[in-house]
Amino acid sequence: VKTPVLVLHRHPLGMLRGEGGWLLPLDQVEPYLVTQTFGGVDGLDPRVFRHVAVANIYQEPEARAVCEWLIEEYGVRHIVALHEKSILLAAQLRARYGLPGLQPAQALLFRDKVVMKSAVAAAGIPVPAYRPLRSADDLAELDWTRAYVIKPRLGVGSDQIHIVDRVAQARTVWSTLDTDPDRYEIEEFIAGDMYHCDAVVRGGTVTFAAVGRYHARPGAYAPGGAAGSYLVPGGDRHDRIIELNRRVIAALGMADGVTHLEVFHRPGDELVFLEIAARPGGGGIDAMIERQHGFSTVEAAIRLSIGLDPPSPVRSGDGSILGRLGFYPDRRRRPGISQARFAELGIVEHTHTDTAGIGDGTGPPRHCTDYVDRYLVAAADPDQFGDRIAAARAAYDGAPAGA
Amino acid sequence: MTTMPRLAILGATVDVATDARGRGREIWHVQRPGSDVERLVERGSLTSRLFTVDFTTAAFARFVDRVLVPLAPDGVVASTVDDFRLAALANERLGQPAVPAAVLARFADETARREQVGRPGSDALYAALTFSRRGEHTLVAVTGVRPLSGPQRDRVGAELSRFLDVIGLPDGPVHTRFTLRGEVVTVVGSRYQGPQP
Repeated sequence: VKTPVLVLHRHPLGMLRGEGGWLLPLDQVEPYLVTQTFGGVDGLDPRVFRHVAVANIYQEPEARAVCEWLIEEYGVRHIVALHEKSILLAAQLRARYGLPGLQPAQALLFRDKVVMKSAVAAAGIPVPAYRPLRSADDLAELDWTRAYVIKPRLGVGSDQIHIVDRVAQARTVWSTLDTDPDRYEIEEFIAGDMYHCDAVVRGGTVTFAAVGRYHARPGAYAPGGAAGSYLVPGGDRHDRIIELNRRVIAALGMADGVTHLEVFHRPGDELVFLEIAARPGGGGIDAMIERQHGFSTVEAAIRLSIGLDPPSPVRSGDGSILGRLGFYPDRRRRPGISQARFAELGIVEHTHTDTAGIGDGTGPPRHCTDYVDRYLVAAADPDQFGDRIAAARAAYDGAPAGA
Repeated sequence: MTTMPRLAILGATVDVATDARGRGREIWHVQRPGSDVERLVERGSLTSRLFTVDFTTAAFARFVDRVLVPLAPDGVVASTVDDFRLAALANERLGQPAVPAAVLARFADETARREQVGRPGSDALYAALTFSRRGEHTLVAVTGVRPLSGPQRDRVGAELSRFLDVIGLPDGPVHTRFTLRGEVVTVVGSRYQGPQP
């Protein structure tokens, strides 16, 4: 008898499929898929997913009602939720039905940026100065010799982020927001480079961690722009980020799961925690890690959600660079990069997403990983990687080879 | 025929789903486990829904109470005879008004009479799903040997409305078989799927 597992899925369905097939352990589980129509049923095989609910899961009461019916009707034993916006609902459902896995109080540590920074700061890890933003009066109390970031406490994908450096500007931003007193925070703007660290945690121990360096800040996403990161092979800063990641996970008390942490590296060489999520890194970070280390962080997250051991890395990096370059949708329909130039540019993988952007695929990006085209780029070292993504950006806009 | 905002269809085929789609109304599908999904739902739509459900009475009733009642579709219509009873059950739980007994009797008599006459042998046979509310009838989907043209569909809608007016049906879902020869629509048989009085 297979174990009934609820899969609460907000991504395109292809995320659940790896090179070798579906990432769910289908010999052991019967999936009950709750999904949506924005790529969420593309390639759905009804022999694999016999039980499906396609609903407006962006409306939480509807998603909750459907999930509760499935859990009760079919005796669901585990919940898989890979999208950050599903983490809290999944945790609340687990608590209600006595299911194992991430519970609400702990899920909040990975979702609410105020609760999260409070816990991380309590462990002695540097965080940006921050406070909940409950009214315009809170703005007057800040030191305006520095810049700040106003963002939703439960925000995802750098959505609704506002950088402000004057109180009048901040008041204007505040006046445009939904002023639910518990919805926003304001934190110190940190200058410097940004890194991510993606980890697998089993039994409270970090069993795998990879560090990536962003080549564009995720918060700077815009129509027609490009962003991404590359995996850092090693070095002192890499090791310090790995250690910071370990301390953060210990401070938040995660037992089993996959995490995606972001951290600033200040010009003075200080590492400052930004945030951490209880899900695999998106926007191709999972693909990058899989290509470099031979296992899927998505599969690891799925298996850990249902109490199974995650797959193990089959190799460590060889010192070369692997990165990703994602292009945001734009009103211009750009030609993209000809496959004939992939080898020259070091492109080893290309993914096109026709659901990117608001509207018909030419609208503005909805979040920082809403790429219409994404490329994985290999290089011998960071300098060559930088040259290659510059050339790839030009090629994407139609520049001929050698331009 | 008026527009219908939200309707659930039980056991739709791909043809039924294709015909029902894109006519200014929300269509939700209720299917047995293992059914096709990708070809039934409307890609990139917040209003296209599909639920796989065990079509046993008890499980289906729980689904209606837990999912359909909160979402409150305007009605439920089945696309095959086998599922008419479940559609009636769903409509009752959704609070659809029951038709007067006299109307139901008329419905049964007229249907029996037409079924006795039978279908003209060589005419193309079609099936139509309609939903009625306060005497206004909506043609939800038509399936048959070949797709209907726009004018043919309008003609069918008008004729089925006339048939349902003759019956005096105020509310509820109906499955009707009819033949089409040129512009002549002949109702062969019809089944009411709403709550019984």
